[in-house]
Amino acid sequence: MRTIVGEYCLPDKAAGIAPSVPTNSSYGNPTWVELVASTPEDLLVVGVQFRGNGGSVLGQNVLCLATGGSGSETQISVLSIGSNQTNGSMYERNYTFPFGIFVAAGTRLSIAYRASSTSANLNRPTNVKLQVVSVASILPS
Amino acid sequence: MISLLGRAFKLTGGYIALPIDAAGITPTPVSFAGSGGWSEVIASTADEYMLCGVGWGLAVGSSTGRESEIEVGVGGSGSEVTVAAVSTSFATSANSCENMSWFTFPYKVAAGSRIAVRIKQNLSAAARNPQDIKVIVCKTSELVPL
Repeated sequence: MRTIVGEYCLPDKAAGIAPSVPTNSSYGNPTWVELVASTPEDLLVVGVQFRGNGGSVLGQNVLCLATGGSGSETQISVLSIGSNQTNGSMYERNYTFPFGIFVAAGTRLSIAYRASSTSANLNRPTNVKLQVVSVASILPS
Repeated sequence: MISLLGRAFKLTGGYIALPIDAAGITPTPVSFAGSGGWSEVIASTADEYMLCGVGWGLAVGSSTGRESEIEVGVGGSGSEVTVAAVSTSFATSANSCENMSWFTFPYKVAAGSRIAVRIKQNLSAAARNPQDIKVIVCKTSELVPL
């Protein structure tokens, strides 16, 4: 497989998205924050990038992706999982998935954490962006 | 070849972290030559899965550098078979942060399987080890050709 256009990022040519502070310390009740209001085309989400927020509260986090309108988001995937035990220890991460997650054109995408702490200062990923590729641009070889 | 295989399919669902909506698993490490040491992640998988990755943190403790391998096993208690392993290495306390490894070649796990993890490492002192381990899977039923 190859792409005739190339992979790109969402948000496209804009800053990454900072998820909201978790409201549940038992990995529940994620608070979704919009990453893109409407996907421009059929996409495969093939990776994720983020950095640490430099927080001083230590704990576990699960970064999740959802589709759906505001207030009716449905989680479709986990994007990363992690645990931070030293203040501000986390640095840039860039992960590539083995299988691209299909997202139809016109879809609103949101992200949120499930976490072990509700602290605003939980050491966790921020400035999140997705690595995507246009389905229409993929050719057999 | 690697990209050809991985990109020949798309995922119509998404990835799942096990255990679901719960803290990660922290096994007691064993030496590289040791045996046992498995801790259960899930007693029985709900669907046929592709094992796609592992995530973990590093405990704070001794500043002595260490190399570890996190193994994922499938099978009943006491008869786990290693199906994947990832390596992690650190030198100082500043490395105590999260990390993940997404597999290039996912491993198929039958529905109803028990999944466990263990840590093998080059030092016996139990101070700074991988911890809070989760495994990432997706449903094979949600993989379709591009």
